[in-house]
Amino acid sequence: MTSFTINGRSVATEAEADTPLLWVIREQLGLTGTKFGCGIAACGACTVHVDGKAVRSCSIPLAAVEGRKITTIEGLSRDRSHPVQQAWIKEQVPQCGYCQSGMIMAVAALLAEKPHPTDAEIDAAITNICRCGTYHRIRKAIHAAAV
Amino acid sequence: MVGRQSASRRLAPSQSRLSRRIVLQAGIASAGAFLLTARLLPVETLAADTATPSSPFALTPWIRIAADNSVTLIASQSEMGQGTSTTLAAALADELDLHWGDIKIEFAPFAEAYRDPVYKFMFTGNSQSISSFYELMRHMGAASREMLVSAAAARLGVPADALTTRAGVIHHAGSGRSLTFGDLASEAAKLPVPENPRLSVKQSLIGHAQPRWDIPLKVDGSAVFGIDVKVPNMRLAAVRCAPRFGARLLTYDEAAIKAKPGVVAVVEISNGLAVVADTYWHARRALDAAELQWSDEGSTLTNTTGLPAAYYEKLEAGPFFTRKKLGDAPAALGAAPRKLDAVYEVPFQAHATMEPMNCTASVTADGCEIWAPTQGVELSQYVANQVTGLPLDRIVIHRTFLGGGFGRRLLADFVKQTLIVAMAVKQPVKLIWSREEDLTRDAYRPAMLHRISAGLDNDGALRALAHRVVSPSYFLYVFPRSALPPIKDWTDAVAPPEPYDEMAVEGLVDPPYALPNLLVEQHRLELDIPVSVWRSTGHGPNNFVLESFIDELADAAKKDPLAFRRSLLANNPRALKLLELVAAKAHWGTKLPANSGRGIALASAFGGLVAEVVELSIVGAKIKVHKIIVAVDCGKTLDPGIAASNIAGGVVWGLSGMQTAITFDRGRAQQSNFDGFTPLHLWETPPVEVHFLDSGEKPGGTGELGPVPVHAALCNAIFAATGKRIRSLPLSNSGLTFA
Repeated sequence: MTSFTINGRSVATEAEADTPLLWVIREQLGLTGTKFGCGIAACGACTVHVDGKAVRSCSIPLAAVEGRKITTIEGLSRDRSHPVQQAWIKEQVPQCGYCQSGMIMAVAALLAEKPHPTDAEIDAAITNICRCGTYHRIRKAIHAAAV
Repeated sequence: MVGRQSASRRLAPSQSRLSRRIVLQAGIASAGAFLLTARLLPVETLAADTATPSSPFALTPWIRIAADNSVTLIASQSEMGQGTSTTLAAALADELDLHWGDIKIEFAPFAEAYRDPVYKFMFTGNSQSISSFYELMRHMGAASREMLVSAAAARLGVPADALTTRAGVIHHAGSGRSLTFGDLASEAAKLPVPENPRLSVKQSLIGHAQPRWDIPLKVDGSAVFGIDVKVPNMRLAAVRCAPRFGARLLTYDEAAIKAKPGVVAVVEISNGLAVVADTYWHARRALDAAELQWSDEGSTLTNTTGLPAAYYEKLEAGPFFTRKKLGDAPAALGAAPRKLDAVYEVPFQAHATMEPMNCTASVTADGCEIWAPTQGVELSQYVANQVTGLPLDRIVIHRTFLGGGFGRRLLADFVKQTLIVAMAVKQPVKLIWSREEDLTRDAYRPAMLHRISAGLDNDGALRALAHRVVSPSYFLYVFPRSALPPIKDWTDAVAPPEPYDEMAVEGLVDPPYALPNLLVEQHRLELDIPVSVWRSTGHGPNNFVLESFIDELADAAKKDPLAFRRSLLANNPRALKLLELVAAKAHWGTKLPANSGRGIALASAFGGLVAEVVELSIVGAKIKVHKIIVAVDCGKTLDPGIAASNIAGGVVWGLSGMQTAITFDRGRAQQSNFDGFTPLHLWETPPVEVHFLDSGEKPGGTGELGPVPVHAALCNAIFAATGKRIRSLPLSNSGLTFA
């Protein structure tokens, strides 16, 4: 049994301790906003926050989050009011949208640490892959959310 | 093209029977988390016999209005990020005279009414949604408005021309009375659909950037993609097919699979194995333990240096099919004082949609339901008929959002697999591919090999162009099947007759330039791996070759690349105007620092024109792209926001395709995840500036325009900066990478 907090709720799961956190979130907890993209921490579609830090949930085992605080896209705000979500709507960032949960979580973690990141800091921190090529609006929305 | 023939009244009687069944099942599904497609209530039944005061009434297959004034617009086209489900709905709403904020949008199930009016097949692709559906949507919106006005006229006992509409309300100025669309929907739905409705002169939505309806759902995790579908009693499946195309599964360790937790069943499929479990992760982990052994047979396709050997052999040996002949190119080449000749090549590419292939299916003796992120609804419908033996009217496909399409999701191989597994276990199954499966079992953008030859006059004028292309058919899996003979297995490759198989030479047979002598020939290469369409289709690779070679000719003629193109566009003012715009915006001709260069390229594709200038510098083996200027003439820009997103994203797609490639070793793809097949990241993405120049021509598609000229524009810039000519992609073939 592994216990942790997710989106402010305490949960316990009997899933095997080596199950990737991603599949616990999606299949045990039914939170499907967090996406499966590659399984090797290369694309970032599965990004969630663990104790406030951006983590690629496909590549960390359930055992590693015992007692930790996890936030997924569903828990970022109750009503799309998080500044990053607001900036994403204002700048009309998503296209297919599949990578955007992970993208938003990565950006939210960056802004929590660096409220006004430079372009170079954005380049270094946001390494998620978007196949639609929404990167221009992502950069613009990050700066908009940082204001 | 429009009017009654497309209206819901034309649905076969059996459709109505099906509809009732869907309504019931959708009711069950809506109890779960499946919000998106649970609302897919077919139109005919609701209008005809299940209507209650709060039920919507169908005014055409495209518009439903309920008594409470809520309006639902139906999207025939899949939404994969290209935004057409917003733009086509805006075209409907404009003519209907609705307030944009008040509508809902739903994806249609398969029905004749939703077929592409040009191809007579229901699909989403080829950047065709706007050019095929825009006028139809305007007519359907206008027709519905006239039906509502007629109903109001009858109700109020006044002539229809005494009534005006505004934002969902009909007014009678003479008496001051008003009725809402909702008040009138039940009566309007009973009226015939006007054949020739009057279109509005002034559109308030079209031509302006609209907020996309799907974006709020895509910032909070609530958008339902195929991979997110939940249906009652669903099991999860992981699948592995032979990594070598053509190999068979020989043995596997069934005991090891079944020893793993959660396993429900093991299902052998034609060339691989599926494991079904209580969760996807359990299925995946059990499959990893399966010790799959494959037969030593199948494709021998191998990249040694460059493309597989068959390409070079066929370029020499042919035979070639003549695709286009203007004048006498061989004679003109023979007579030309200067002759140039070059060989270009482009690699195989994978689609790598961010959402791996997946599908959910439930099959019983009575019917089949499929939930799929698909571009190919009608093809999937036929595949389901073939696999289940159920008649078409017992099969319903619910579409989800697509986590990328790019042409991959036109195919139905993943739908077929899912149906086979669901039937074997007699339970609903969601089957999900791993990324490894996705990249090693793709239907790839084919590699292409080109020889291009030209003859120049002494004054540098282009006299003749001859082009030989070695390429497989792009259409093997996606050619509109209604145009082909009956097919036993709808997932099989079937090439259309050669004269209709033009995608491999598109952009070459109809270039924007005036060419007195032009010859385009193709050898249709047979490969033993699957190949298909990929965002930019044949236009992308062909424009790389043509526009790079035009640059070579300009250099040979000692002319500026812009000036040389200008001289070929004397009879094409539309293209010339666009070229001048991009050159002006890019400050073409102004001085750049050392090791820097600009490259230009022009393309006519997907019913529009696009010109790009790339400005870059090169330090060592690193390319730093400073900016890319794009000018687009897509006839009429229906939504400048969405169109600009498509163009800029398309440029990123094109740049990614300069650093990715799939190579084969004896029929096995050598790249299996994003570590070996790495699209562009944010930090590699240069600024892209998009300018629209509306010519007022028929609207064309923007989804695939962006990538078309970027390869040539970038390689021409490399030549300008370094004198090095790139004739082979990816860039790593020339020792170059993006900084």
